[in-house]
Amino acid sequence: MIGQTHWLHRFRRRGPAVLAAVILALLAIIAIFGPAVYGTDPWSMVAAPFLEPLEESEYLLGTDALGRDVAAGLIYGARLSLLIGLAASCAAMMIGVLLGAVAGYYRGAADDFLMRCTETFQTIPSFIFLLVLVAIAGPSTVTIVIAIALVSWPPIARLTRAEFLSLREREYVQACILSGMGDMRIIFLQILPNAITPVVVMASILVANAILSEAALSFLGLGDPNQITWGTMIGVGRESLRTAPYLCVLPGIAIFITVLAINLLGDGINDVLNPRSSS
Amino acid sequence: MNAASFDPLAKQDIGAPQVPALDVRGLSVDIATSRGVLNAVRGIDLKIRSGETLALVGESGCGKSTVAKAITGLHAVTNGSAHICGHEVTALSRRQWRPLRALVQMIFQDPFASLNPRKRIGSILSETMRVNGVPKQQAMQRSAELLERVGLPKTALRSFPHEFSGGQRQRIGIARALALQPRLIVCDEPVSALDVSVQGQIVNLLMDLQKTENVAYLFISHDLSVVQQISDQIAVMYLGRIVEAGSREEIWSAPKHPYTRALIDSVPSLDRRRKDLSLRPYLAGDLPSPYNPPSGCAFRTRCAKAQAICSDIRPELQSAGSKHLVACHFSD
Repeated sequence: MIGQTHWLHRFRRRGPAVLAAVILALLAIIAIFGPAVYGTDPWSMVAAPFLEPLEESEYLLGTDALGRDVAAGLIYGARLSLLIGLAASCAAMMIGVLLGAVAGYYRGAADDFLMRCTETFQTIPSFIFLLVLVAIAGPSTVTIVIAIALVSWPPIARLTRAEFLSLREREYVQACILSGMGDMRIIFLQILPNAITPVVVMASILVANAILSEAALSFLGLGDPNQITWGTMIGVGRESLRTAPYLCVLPGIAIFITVLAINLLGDGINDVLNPRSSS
Repeated sequence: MNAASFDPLAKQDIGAPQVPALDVRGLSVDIATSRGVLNAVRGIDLKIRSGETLALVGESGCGKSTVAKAITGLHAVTNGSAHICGHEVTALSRRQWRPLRALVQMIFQDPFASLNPRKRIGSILSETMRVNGVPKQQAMQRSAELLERVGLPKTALRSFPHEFSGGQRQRIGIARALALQPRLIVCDEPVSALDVSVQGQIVNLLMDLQKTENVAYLFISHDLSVVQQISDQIAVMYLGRIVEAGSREEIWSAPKHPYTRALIDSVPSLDRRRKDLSLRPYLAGDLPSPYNPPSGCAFRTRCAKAQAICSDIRPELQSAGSKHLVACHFSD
């Protein structure tokens, strides 16, 4: 359209979103390269237990009850927390988009059936459902990702369906039908690219929810026992909360900053992609 | 245009020239809505000869667009038949439609909704042909030819729809409709969303293309001044039924139905005298609810000539001169 400013330009005018993007970029770098650069194994007992942060220059963020390096834990935890967040929300998006697209495009009986399923999933308290799924399947990174995806797809499906319901009536879709194009091609190559924007915004916020869910699971001891995440660290630190509160506070701050940054970035993306919805 | 290199109709029997491009008999379409069943189209007959234009005229909500959708298979037909170049198309599944798709294409009303905003013009035009088995190279080449055909530069192939004005987009829509070399194009209000100056250009383009491509048009419109330019035959629709039909000259110069007369009188004109405006019948009130149309003649609630008989007996379409049909008890 005429007078439409470049999306990068519009994005740059939004301070919080830019800050969030920078923070997330740093976190991503830490998650990808941190473990290799930092070197210290988060599982090995490297120093005396309960070293406070800044007490010793080699272990800036202190050590836990077993003398393990907290900084190493945070760095390794960043990798897994972000990975689980991303993977779970990608999986949730795939399930939600597929079901929502089919329901919205075909309407009728398919729509009724899929939406009743979606509502069934939505009526179950999601965290309890998550606990049950993980308890049944056993805690491992893969089952946790799948379980989080299974409890978070319904809003994506509903949003995708709403978009498809309106877009499928567009004349360009009728033109595609008239040219003899198949349904799958129309759904995925014609309508989906136009419907995906608000879904991506919602999925970006799902990443934050997934990280929180994973942290909550780990806190309850249902995390993958072979992996260190921020939630695991809080769960372990809980036992010495009074004597060494930093063991819970530091990973807590990491989760807080990450989730806040993802939410701010999601808002920023929303403003950029849907200029009309911004106030 | 090099027809020898590309002919999606080669496999299809398009019939002898005397086979009508469109032959609709007793077509009825019911639409189930949340407010009940809407009888949008109630048994209409239409016939378009190869290479000619039939204009379907009426107010918004009279069922014109539903006719378009029914003929092109976008909406299920309740009753009646429609033959396109001799092929019955009313009861076909999506799969059965596929080999016939090249016979009938459509030009849409809203040039801003009829092109996928995320696709380049080149892919919008070529994918229509690709779906019908034309190789990629050839489809792109023909897309460029089509653009030139409708008066746009080849460079438009690489552009997105938002880079064009409404009139240019409508030209692209026309190029897409021509891509498969159809025998019939359904034009659903193709110019009503355009500026008046652009309307003329598009109508002229459609008329030029009709001569070179020998394509028939079902031209749906509420604007009689446009219809008068392009049509060979005119059919006037009111609440799902055809109330008057005939050649353009007959309808335009000697309308018999009060509704047609009111529509023609509502067309602004420079040479008609204004002083007797008050003497002419005019359209009072709104279109009645199509869910619950008036008994007898559906037009009687707005008709200056309405008598008792009009509410009791629905007038059938009757011959009123050669090739002129009208449904009115008091046609003049």
